[in-house]
Amino acid sequence: MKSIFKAPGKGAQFLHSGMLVGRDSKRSVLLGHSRMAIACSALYAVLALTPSATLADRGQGSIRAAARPAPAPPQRASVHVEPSHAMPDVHPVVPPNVAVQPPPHVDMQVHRDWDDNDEDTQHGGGFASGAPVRAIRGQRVHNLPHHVSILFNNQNYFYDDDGNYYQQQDGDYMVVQPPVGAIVAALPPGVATVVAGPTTYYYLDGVFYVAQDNSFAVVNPPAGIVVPDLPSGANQVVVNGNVYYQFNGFNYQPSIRDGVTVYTLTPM
Amino acid sequence: MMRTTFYSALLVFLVAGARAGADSVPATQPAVDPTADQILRQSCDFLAQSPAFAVHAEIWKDVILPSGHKIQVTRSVDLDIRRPDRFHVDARAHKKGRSIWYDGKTLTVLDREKNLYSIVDAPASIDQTLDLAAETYGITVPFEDLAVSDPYTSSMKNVTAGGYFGDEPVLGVSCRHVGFSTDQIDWQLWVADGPQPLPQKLVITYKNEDQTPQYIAIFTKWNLMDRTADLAFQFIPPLGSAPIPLVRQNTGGNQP
Repeated sequence: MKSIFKAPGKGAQFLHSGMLVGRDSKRSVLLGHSRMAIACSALYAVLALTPSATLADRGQGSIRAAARPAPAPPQRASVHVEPSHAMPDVHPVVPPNVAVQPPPHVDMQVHRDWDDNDEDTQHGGGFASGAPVRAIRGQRVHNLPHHVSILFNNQNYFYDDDGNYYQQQDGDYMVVQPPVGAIVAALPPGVATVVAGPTTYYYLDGVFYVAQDNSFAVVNPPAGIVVPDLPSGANQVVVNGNVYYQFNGFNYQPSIRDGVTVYTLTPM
Repeated sequence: MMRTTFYSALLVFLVAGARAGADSVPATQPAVDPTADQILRQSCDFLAQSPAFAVHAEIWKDVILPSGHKIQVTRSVDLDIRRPDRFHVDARAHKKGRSIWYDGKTLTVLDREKNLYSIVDAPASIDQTLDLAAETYGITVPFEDLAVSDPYTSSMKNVTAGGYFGDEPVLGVSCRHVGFSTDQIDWQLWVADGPQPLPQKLVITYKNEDQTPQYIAIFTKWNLMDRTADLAFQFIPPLGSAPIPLVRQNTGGNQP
């Protein structure tokens, strides 16, 4: 079956095999070499290592802050990455005569401060786009928002413009966690860039992506990775007086770094 | 007369800035207009000699979006100081809020949105605690320049030029407008013209950063008779809140 769901709001098409191809063939011809894609990914990774917030970010109305040395880059050695677990082999197979497009632009987020612009702007809202909607897993909707379709392991998934995934159930659509190995052409708006060990991850609402060739694959996170936000629907638990949030097989342990609450993942 | 004063000050400011920026001429002596220096010193001395005060600030902060657009967001801060070893800050945004307590022994940071807090031991003075927060934990306490024991020396560090730009009202208060420059920022202060030379407005321009974002604050509700009780500087955990670690700057983990 050849069905392809076109999505005007996304630069991607999905085949029923779960494979993805570029939608804008003209742009693909101009830009679409895998080397270009890899180069772009490498550039994003380098940018993500930018060590510190700008002075304006961390200044807080302080004149003294300008006289202090800029903070050094964070240590990265404490994150242990298990390639077999974190990066499943999900290379898409692209027909030789189909032009592909490089990874789309990724908004770098190298630092957050407590008063960084609110969710409306920080998480993908802004000019020409509204604030994204975060759907909670298990939530049901009768009509899907604008979306593209993914067939993965003979299961149909629907991926909306805000990065939520759905599956059909009893005539409705239920919000679900995407399967590890699913591939999307474009990252959802508002992803945070998280560099752990040698790998650059893109994180949003409990879903981790890595760039792969001309697209992005859903992967499991490595233990010890630190993320800026909790997934919607994470459950709070208190163990021995320590607060955790549990989601999709991981404990999200909160701490305050640079004045901002962040979460360190450990397997449950 | 006013116009002459303004342009004279502007000339001093610009020439001094150019001199400081020249590679071949090290800026050994800041070129600060004496009137500007005097206005700032009077204000700073007044603050330093105030044993306690409270102030409210409305803040407008430029934010550069990843798309390159520049927008402005609004914030508010309430600051309560009692020298030499107490402060409390409430900083609020639309959906976020953070509060900081220093009671002479501990420093507490509360994330009001998440209802999570961290407590660490703190040194015996406001100055040392502000440095601990910034240098060890990466937390810049809003308007720390007002809280330090010697605001003048603190503010003038690294200043290469300064000027007086005449008198202007800020929310109806007659003010004296001064501006100073360092290699990284230009900052302007509007100081009330009268027996209580308190800052009424602050503008910081991050001149080396993309699109030169600004941080603008207007100070209101100055209260020099602040009789805040000890209890106000002590953290009482809100209902349902939970303690979490305060992580030292640049230690462990990736960069989120």
